[in-house]
Amino acid sequence: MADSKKRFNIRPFRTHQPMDRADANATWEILEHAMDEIANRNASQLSFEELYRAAYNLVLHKHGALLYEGVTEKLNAILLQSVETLAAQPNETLLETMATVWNEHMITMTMIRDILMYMDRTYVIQQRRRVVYELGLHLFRITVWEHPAVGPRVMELTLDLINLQRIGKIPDDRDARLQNVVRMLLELGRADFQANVYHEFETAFLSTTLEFYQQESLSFLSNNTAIDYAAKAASRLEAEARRAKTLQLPVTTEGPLMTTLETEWIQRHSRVLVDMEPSGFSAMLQDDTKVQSLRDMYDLFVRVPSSVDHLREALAARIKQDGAALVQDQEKGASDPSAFCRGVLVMKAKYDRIVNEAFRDEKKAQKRMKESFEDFLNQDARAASCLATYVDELLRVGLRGATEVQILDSLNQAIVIFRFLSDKDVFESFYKQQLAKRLLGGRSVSDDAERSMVSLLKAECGYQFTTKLEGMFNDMRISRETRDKYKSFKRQEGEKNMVDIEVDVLTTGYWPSQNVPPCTLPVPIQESIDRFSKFYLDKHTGRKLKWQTNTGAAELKVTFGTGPDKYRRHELCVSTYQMCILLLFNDKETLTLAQIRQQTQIPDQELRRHLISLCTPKNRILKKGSKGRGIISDEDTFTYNMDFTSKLKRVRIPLVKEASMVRPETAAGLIGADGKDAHVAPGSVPVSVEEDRRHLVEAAIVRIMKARKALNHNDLIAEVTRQLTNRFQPTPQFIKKRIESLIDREYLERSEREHRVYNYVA
Amino acid sequence: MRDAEAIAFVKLVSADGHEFLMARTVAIASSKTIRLMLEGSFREAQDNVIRFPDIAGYVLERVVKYLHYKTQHSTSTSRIPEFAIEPEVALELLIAAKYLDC
Repeated sequence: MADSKKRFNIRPFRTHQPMDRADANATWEILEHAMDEIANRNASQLSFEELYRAAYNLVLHKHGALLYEGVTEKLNAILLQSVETLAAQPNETLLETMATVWNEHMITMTMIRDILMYMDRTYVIQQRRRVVYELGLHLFRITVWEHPAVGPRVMELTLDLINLQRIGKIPDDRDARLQNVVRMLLELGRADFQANVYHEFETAFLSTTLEFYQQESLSFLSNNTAIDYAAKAASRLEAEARRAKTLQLPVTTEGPLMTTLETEWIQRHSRVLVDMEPSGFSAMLQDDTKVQSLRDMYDLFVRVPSSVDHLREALAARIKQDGAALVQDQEKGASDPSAFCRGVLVMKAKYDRIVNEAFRDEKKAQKRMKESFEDFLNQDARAASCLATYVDELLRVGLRGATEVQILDSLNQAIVIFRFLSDKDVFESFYKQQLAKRLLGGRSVSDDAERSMVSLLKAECGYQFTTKLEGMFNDMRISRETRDKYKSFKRQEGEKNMVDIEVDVLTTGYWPSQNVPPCTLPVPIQESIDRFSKFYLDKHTGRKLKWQTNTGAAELKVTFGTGPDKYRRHELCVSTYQMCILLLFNDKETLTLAQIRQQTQIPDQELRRHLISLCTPKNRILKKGSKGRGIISDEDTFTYNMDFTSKLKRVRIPLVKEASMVRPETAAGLIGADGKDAHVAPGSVPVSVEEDRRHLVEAAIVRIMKARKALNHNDLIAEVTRQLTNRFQPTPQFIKKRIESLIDREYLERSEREHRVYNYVA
Repeated sequence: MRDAEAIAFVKLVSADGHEFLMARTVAIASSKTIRLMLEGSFREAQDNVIRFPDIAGYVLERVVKYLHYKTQHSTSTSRIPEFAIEPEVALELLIAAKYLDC
C-alpha cells in the first residue's frame, strides 16, 4: 500500500444536476399532488421512494423553504375543506364527525411525516421550525379547533355529555366520542405550549365538576343520613376515578379532579358529618352495631388526612364522655370500685374494637384512644384505688374456679387499665394493703394467681416496683416454715395447756406499716406469745418482734343460754381485738365503753368499730345499752347476750365498714390495715403515698445531682420527671419544693454565678 | 397473493437494475427509511420491491452488506469487527447512508 503507484483515486462525485427554481417547482408539484392523494386515501398508488426522494432533493438543493411553505399551505387547504363540513354539522353529530376528521388528519399526518422525514431531520432542525407532524397539529388547532362553530361547540357538547353521565341520563360507561375529544385535545395541547387547548378544557371541566358536586353534596347532605352520604360520596369518587381512567385523563388532571371531589364531598362537610344528629360519626360511636358504618366513613375520610382528625376528635370526646359518666357513677356511689373497673374494661373493649375495625388500627387513633383513657382515668387518683380494689376482688373471689388461662386473661385486662394510670404508686400502695390482707387472712383464690399478678406488674414497671410485694410473699413462706418448726418444738416440749397461736413474721418495710401500740392481751394469749418470742429469738438473735394486734383473728368457743339443757355452744370467728373484748365478759356481765378501753388499751376508734360489729342485729353477741347505731359516750354499756342464737355452729363476725361510723376529723389520712381508705376524699392521693413521693423525688434529685454535680433547674426537673414517670407524674412545683428542702438541708446549693443552676454538695 | 418467501424477503433494485434480495426483518431493523417504506401504506409496502433510481448497484451492494453488518452487531457486547470500506466508494456510500438513515 505504501507504493505510490497504487494510490487510490476517489471517483468523482456524480453530481446531480443542480436544481433550479423551475425544477424545484416541478418536484414540489409531485409532492403536492401526492398530498392530495394521501388525504384521499390513495397512497397505495404512490411510490414512497419517489416522494421521499423528491423531498430529499428539494431539501438537498436548498429548496427546503419552498417545500416547508408549500406543505403548510397544502395542509391548510386540506384542513379548510374538512372544517367546512365540520362547522355545518348539527350538534347531534358534531362530536362523531369531529372524531372522524381528527382521525383522518392523524393518518394523513403520519404518512406525510414519513415521506418528509428527511426534511424533519435536516431543514427543520437547522431552521428551528416545527416538525411536520406538529405543524399539522398546530394548523389543525388554528384552522379547525378555533373555528367559531367548532371548538366552542365541541367543548360545550363534551362537558354536557359528561354532565349527562353524572346525572345518570346516559350510561356512565366508556363513550368513544368523549375519549376521542380528550385524546385530540391532549395531542393538540402537546404541540402548542403557548395555547394549550387541553388546558382550556381541563379548566372548564374542573370548574363544572366543582360546581356540580358543590351543589350535589350539599343537597344530598341535607336530605340523607351521614352513612348514606358516605356511601354516595364513595360511589361518586369511584365513578370519577373510573371516568378519569376511561377518558385517559393525564394524572395532572386526575389529581385535581379527585382533590375537587374530596374537598367537596369530604373536607367541606367533615365537621357536619361527624357532629350531625342522629346519624353522624359521633352519634354512631355509641351504637355497637354501627362499626361497619363507622369503617365506611373512616375509609372515606382517610382520603383527606386532615378530616380524619375530626373522627379521632369525636372518638376522643366520646371516650372522655363515657369515662366521665363512669367516674360520676362512681362518685355518686351508684357503682362500687370494681364495677367502675369493669365499666372501664367494657369501654376499652368497645373502643378497641372500634379502633381496630373502624379506624383500621391506625396508629394515630390508637394513640388518641390511649390519651383519652389516660385523660379521664387520671383526673384524680381514684382510678388507682378502684383498680386496686378490683384486682383485690378478683383475687379474693372473682377468680375462684377459673382456669389458668382465664386468670391470666383477667389479670392482663387489669394491667391494661394499670397502663393508663399515671399514679402507679397510689395503686401500689392500695394493692400492697390489700395483698397484705389477703395473705394474712389466707383469702387469696390461688397463690399462682397472686404471683402472676406480681410478675405482670414487674413486667410493666420493673423490678423495683415489686420488690416489696415479693418480699411479702417471701415472708409468708418463711412464716410457714417457722410455724412448722414451732409446732414440732411444742411437741417436743409437750406442753398441752397453752393456747395455740399461729404467727406470721413480717419484715418491717415490706408490709404496709402501722405504728399501732399493741393492746393488752388476755393472759393466756400473752403466755403463748411470750413462748413463741422466746423460741423465735433464740433462733434469730438480734431481731425484734413487734406484735400487730390490730391484725389477726381468733376462734372462740362460747357458750350461750342458761340452764344445762339450753346451753348452746358456738365457735365465733373474731378479730384479735374482738377476742380481747369478749374475753373481758368472762368476768363481768356488763361493761362500759370506758372500762373496756381502759382494760384493753385498744385505740378508741378501732374499739368502737369492733364493738359495733359485735352488736349488729345479725350477730348480737353483745347488747348495747344505748339506742341507735353509734356509740355516743364513754358511759354506754355493753352486756353479754345470753340469748344469742344462730343456725350455724361456726359464726363468723364480719367487721362493719369503717365509713359508716367514722368521724371525719379524726380519720383523715389514715390508711387502715384493711385498706378501707374511705376517709380520704376519693380521688386525692393518700397521705402515705404523698410522703413516699417526697422521698422518691428527693432520692431522684440527689441521685441525679450526684452524677451531674451541677445542673440547670429546668434540666433537673425534666430528668426527675423522666425517672419517676413510670411510678407517678410529679408536678414541677412539687419537685421545686423538694429541691428547696434539699437546699435547706444542704444537699444542694444554688450556683453563685448563675441563679438557675444547682450544685451538688458532697 | 404473495408467497411466504416474498413476505420474508424484500427486493432492492439499484439504479442500474441490480436486484438484491434481503430478509425483510433485517432491512426494517437497520434502516429507518426502508422501514417507513415497507410499513407504510404506499406502493412499496404492497409490492415488497423498492427501487432506488439514485443509488448505483455497487453502492447498494455495500449498503446491503452494511445493513446485515449493523443488524448483526448492533446489540453485540463483544468487540465489533471493522467494516471495510473501499475509499473509492466512501463518499457515495455516505450519501446513501444519509438517504436511508441507517
